[in-house]
Amino acid sequence: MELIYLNNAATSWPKAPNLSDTMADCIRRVPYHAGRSGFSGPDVAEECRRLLANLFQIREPNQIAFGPNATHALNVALHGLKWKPDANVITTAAEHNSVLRPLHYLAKTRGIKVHMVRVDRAGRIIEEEWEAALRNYRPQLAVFTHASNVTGAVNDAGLLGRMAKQAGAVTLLDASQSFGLFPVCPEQWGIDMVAFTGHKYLLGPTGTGGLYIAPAMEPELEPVWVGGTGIHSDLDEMPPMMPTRFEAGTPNDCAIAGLAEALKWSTENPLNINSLMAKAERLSVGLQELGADVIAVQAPRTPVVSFTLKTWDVEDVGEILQKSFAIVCRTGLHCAPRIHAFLGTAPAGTVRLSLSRFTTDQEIDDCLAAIGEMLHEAG
Amino acid sequence: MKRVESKKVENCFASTQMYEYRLPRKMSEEMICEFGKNGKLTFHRNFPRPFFKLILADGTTVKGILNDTVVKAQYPDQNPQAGKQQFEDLLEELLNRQDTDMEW
Repeated sequence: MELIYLNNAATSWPKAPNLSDTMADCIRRVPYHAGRSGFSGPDVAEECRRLLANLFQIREPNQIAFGPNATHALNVALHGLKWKPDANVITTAAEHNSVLRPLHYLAKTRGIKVHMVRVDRAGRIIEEEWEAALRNYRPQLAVFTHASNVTGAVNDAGLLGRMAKQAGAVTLLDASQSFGLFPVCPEQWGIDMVAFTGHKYLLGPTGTGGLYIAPAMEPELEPVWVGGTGIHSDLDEMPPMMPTRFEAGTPNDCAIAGLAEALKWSTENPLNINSLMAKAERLSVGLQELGADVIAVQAPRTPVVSFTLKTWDVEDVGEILQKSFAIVCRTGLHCAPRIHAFLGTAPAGTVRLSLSRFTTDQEIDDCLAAIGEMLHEAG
Repeated sequence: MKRVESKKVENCFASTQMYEYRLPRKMSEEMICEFGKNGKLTFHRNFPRPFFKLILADGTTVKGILNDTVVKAQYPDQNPQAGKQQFEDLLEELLNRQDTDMEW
């Protein structure tokens, strides 16, 4: 039985071709010191930053600070922000724990006040409620996800970001579920910071991610991690320039080289988003026809389909798909515990199938057949 | 000496008491049916790899696949330790009985 991987919202698989060779080459090569070597050695971080900057449509690649993942990036932003006393923050019920837990921690330790904006039954941020929250709380920070990792609903980040900026808030976007699928344009949208990951729709390795920091944000953000940078070692404090200020310690060169390779491959082989979304739609419609309770999401959306079955526990569905049918998916709350109250899927959560550009029509058919068999079996 | 290796596994819920057990032999249909005498068994033989689920009287849920060496047990929130002990004793007893049958 061939394995069918439908858990790309957690981490993509397969990765971009040649990624593993590139990473292996990187670890075999003599290491060069980024920032010190001039033209004498390859600077994989510089190349990766340039490719990311193209994707972000930003002018200055050095505004991107690398980190091991989006959670790290979100923590750098949330803990690094120079909080005012009694600061208000608005966020949304669609957020991942990578946002919710740092905010909870900051509420406990720094006294920030967190206000949660509701989402609709598709998991999309309700713009009127976002506007009302901005008006009522005048937050120092507005942090929100570009796309729900549970339902795939994509938010209008440009609109929500502009509304928050007009209300005087710093804006932080979690692009973990959208970067690589849809344009993420912080300069155009006026977004101050964007956290991203390399291992989902960018098709890069785990252990890659980072934070875009707008130039105007630099004075508002203190480095959370401080330490060796390999340059300006005579200073007591972190060097002031980007991205070094937010990149203490030795970077993960091999993973960054892998991400650069994935970005190059994606540039040469652009994603056909319409084809991918057609497959997601076919899966969604197919599940509905089988009688599954599918969370209906209008476009724009990511290739994520969440559902429940009346006759099977959520956890059993995942277990059976994986063990009996060799279909890898994800079940439960998906680290986004607040959204389920709005989707009607609390307390158990959903079964989530998430596609990638490599998902085939045959795999969709096989998945539908498997779920059909389960429903038939349950009577 | 215990012949069954166990490992706690987690899911989305902090209160969940779930363990995986690696058995010294594959779960045969006979073993599953024997196991089933201790509770409510559902056995989905038609799946490409048949799946079983057994709910014991105390609420312990046991799941696994035919011809697999791993079974998963989830214990009730109320007194999970008692459920764990009871299930592990049952598992040992079943394996011992299977050994005896094989010797015969």
